Amino acid sequence: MSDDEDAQLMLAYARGEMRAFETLYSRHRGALYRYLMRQSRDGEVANDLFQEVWSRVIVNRARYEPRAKFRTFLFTLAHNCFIDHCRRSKCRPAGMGIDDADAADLLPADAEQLPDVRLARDEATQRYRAALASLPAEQRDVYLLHEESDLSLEEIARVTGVGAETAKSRLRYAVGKLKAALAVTEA
Amino acid sequence: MNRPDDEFEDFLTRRKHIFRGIEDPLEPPDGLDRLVLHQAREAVEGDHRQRVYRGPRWAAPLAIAATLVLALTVILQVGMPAKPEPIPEVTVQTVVQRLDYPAARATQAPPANNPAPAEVSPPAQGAADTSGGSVVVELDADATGTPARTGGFVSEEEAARYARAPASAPAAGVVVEDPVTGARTIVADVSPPPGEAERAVARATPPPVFRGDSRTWLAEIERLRAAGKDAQAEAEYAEYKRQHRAYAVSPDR
Repeated sequence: MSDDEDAQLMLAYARGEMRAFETLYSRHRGALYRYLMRQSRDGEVANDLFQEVWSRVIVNRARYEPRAKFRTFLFTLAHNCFIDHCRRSKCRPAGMGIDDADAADLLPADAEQLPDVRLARDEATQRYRAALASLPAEQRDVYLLHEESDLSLEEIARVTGVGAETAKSRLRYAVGKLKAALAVTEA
Repeated sequence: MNRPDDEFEDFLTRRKHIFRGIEDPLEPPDGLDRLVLHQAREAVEGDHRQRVYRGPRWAAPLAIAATLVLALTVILQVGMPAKPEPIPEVTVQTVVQRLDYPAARATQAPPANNPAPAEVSPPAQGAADTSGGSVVVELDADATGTPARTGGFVSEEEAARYARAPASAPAAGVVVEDPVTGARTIVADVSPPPGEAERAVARATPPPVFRGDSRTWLAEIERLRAAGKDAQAEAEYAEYKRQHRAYAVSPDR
């Protein structure tokens, strides 16, 4: 998938080609939704934020200029939407853990998998989510942007509004904490 | 053995997955997909509807400017009309040849108490004579300005005196006594300035008949030009233009 192609799709949509938007949407919907879901840890909030982000894309289509990757543009909107949501709801984006019941609800059921394999995978996913939820918000934000948006460190720094070294430092801490949490759990 | 820093650098460059085997395939619900796609489609269709009625960007300012210019033009043409050019009055009239007949002489003697008018009347203004640049006021004239006479017809001597132009005008302020009638007159100096005499003559001269009608006047100017009297034609033309100031073009048109 080419970033230049994304930009061209966005420009085509701005000219009125609905098919271009459908292609663009299908490319980025999963990554964006996961980012918002893991950031908010609330299905309702993630749905609202997801719709709000795409609404901003739609509204700003005429002003879009391919100065940066479309992914950067999209995840900048997502980051800002989530920050706005935290300000509106006066919630603190850091720290809150996700309980196991909520995490199990988020998992898709796959009846074709063997029960033991599925159980092992579910446990690993739950540990991962729990470890992710325990990260400070800034570190989790940088880590999720790195994992889901496929942006470079410089682009992540631009999206989050910090320097590249700060973003790298946050990412290093996030990865270290996740590894430690998963190792302790496994032990 | 890899150092942690090397492992992190590999993670950064996406050459290594730290959390291998962990899959978290979260996807947005179908309802959410439909909602977003519907919103995107509506926005595009709204654009199409707007584009039907939207012209180029410069159209609105141009239309406003054109409307203003048009309105200003209409106001100037209708609200403040130009002063109409006076049309020279042209009257169609039948030119009647004027025949001057000699004054009929009285054949019958008037009654004694009602004297007939004199054949030779004194100069204009009754008792005032402006010939020679002086006004002669007859002191013995009656209230109507008629010189005192004995009655009846004017004698030949008196007629000859009036018909003769004085050889030399008396000096101003001098009282002159008429040797024939004994009437005393005082001479007042009303000598006109140099050049005024010609204008006085022109004023006294009645205007030519052809000046009464514009068409006739112009025809006369043409005739003078054809006859080679350019100076006179130009003078007439200048007078014509003076009286018809709005007539700005040549009569040759």
